[in-house]
Amino acid sequence: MNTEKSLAMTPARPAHETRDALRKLDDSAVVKRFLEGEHRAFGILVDRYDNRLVNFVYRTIGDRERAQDLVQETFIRVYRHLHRFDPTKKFSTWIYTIASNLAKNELRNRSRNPLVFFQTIKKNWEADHRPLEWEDNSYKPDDLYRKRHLRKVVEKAVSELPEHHRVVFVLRELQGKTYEEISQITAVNLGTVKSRLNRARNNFARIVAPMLD
Amino acid sequence: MECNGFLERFSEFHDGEAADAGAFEQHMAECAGCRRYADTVKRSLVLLRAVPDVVVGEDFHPRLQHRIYHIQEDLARRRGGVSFTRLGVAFAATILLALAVWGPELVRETPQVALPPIVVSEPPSQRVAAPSAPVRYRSIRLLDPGLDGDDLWTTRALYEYSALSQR
Repeated sequence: MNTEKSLAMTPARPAHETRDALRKLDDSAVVKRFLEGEHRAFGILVDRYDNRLVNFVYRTIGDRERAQDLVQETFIRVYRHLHRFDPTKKFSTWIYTIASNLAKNELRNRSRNPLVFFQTIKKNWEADHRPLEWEDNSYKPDDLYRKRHLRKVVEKAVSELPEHHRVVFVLRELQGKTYEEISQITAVNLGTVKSRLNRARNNFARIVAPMLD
Repeated sequence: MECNGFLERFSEFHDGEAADAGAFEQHMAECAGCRRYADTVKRSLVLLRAVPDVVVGEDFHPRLQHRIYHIQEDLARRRGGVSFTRLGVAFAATILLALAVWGPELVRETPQVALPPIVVSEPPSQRVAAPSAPVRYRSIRLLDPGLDGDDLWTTRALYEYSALSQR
């Protein structure tokens, strides 16, 4: 098992020199070093992706503590199965796919309550089939109150998006993934990714619009 | 371009992937509602990205290192130590060996030994007369001849046991 080989120590070098050298490498090179036995390389991958994954999972499931648990589980799975990773593929797509699947499982487990399940189905269907609409509101709400609660409103707007829209929306707007990467991570075709993203932006804008000047 | 079409494909235009970007620009020039929509989407996304990111807790890395340590320990044990598979095979081999050695003994029938019957003599029949007077237990022989039965409950006496068959 290649993970066993990776446990073997490489020739001794000062630790800080190894870390500095590893930080300059791209993901594929870091993975290669880890599989050759430099187990400190795994720490470099953790440092690169911990906050990004926590933010992605947190925005998707809405629970910060649980998001950290799921990201821990993501790294554990990466550690166990890194020897199976195809080096010709992008490491970030692979690790995001694992995190996305764990987040989806979490949301699915939450909706096991029949009532919640039905409400989720109904909400998702309406989100996909409701005609896109836009009202040209020009009234100005209480600016001071709105700005004070702006962050909460924005976060709430994201959490109100249907789950399958939310994942795509967060990957695009907060994680900067391309359409192709989102398609691979979520295992949906490109056309569906574009459609979901468009609807997510429409929903998000409708919710946040009253808060804008 | 109509407003429906503008809304349906707005994301492509927003992301710079619309081949007919000119049509979108023209429609926005003509339609205030869609122009405001484009502006609102753009500003709301700027607002979203301005929300501070969440950072991992202080215990995140120690917890992860602790879990990875246990994975490494488990891998090292499987490499150099006795695995559960080997233990299972050794246990099964021991059971089979024990069955091979003691199996014939377990299967063999135990010999039947014929023992003579035990004859129990019947006790002599006795007619028990209804007591008309206070019963005095004649079988009880007081070691101290000076004591009689009435003193049984008032004095401490030593009694000599007599066999049941003699009572």
